[in-house]
Amino acid sequence: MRNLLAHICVILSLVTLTLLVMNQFNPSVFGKAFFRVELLLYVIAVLLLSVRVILRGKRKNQNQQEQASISQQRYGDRR
Amino acid sequence: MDQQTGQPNRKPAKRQDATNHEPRKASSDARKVGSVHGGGQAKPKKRRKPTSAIAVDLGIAALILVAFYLVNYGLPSRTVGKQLTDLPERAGTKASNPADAQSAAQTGADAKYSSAETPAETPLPKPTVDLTPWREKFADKFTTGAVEKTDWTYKSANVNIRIDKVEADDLVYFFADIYIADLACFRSAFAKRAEVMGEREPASDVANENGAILAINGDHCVDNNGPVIRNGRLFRDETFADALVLLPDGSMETYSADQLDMSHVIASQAWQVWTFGPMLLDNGQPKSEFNSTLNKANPRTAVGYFEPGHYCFLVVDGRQANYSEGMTLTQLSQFFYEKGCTVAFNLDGGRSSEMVFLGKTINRPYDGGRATTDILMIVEE
Repeated sequence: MRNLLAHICVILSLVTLTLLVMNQFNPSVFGKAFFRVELLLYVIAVLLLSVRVILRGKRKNQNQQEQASISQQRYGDRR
Repeated sequence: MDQQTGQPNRKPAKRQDATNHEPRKASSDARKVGSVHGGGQAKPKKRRKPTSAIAVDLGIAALILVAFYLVNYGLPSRTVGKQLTDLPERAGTKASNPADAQSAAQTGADAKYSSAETPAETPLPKPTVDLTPWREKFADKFTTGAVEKTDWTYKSANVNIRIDKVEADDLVYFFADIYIADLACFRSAFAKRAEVMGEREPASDVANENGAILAINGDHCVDNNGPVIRNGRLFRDETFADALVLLPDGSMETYSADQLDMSHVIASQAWQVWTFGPMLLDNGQPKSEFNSTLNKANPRTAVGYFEPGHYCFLVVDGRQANYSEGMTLTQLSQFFYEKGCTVAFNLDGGRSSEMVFLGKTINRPYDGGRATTDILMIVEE
């Protein structure tokens, strides 16, 4: 469930790539409402995933910094 | 030591390492280790292989594509269209019958184009075509009533068709030179039910069901976007690709998607509007750049316009080694220019390209052809 967004991105990117190839042979594919909806969902999914990855990276950095400062306080005194 | 049993005390000593400062995180880490390696007290968690997860994604993507196919191409979406005379924006209605519309154009065409309902800032172009009745203008092309026909020609009181089959090196095409006495002879028909868009059927069947003398496949409008007006009925008014408009005065005009104003086309009582394209001539001059990515040699179907009442159909066989490779769009454009057409328009090609004359398919469609959604046809009035 945690990686659902990533899987949605994989699925929609595969669909988009296939439709891109199909559009080379039948230029009306990009004009279909189905494609527009799919592209919209894909963009939203990528946006959400990107925000999540960025926030998670920030949180991880903060935790690492906190841990480093705590252990420095504890062990720095003993030395 | 336990004084009663003599055993040493086994109370676990508290760990005095750094992990004690973060008991919650440490236990969480332990769970993670246990789950991965199956050690510790945590129950080992089943993990799917990444490849199986990707396979599931692939399966779902395939299902979405199947749904796309079904929604857009598989499931029929029938449309009955709307007679243009019923549209509220239609100005100065004269007649829904093309023959009446033509005579109306002959007697008072200016009234239509300068009527009060037409926006003053964007007036419709005035007709510049010769309005002499076609039956008089092409009198030598028509009979007085008898029908004369051979394998490659047809001549009657309303229609004159001559088909040339041309065979060159790796190129075979069929060129039909057409004269008609009335615009009503130039019609379209949809598969199975002539006035309902959405079905599919071989072009020869559609032609035979509608009594066509000559027919070619149309623009496959059901599967493609763009405007659709057939026999004076509006089926779709969206702009998408290049469009070919056949006006009630018998003239033809081509438009790119950004030039096409459907409200004007509707107001001008267009008899037919086809999409697909691209347009092949630019003010009667050949083109080298087209609104299409499919410029390589292919089977082609195209329609050309000389003057009102005089048209031509072209079907080029292709993708067949040692028989015919087909034509590029550049070759097609040059072909119509050399024939003297002022307007030419490419229709659906590939497996769809088919010409039917007197009930028989006369070309050799690639891969046996395929079911089409619509045809252009010449019929007796």
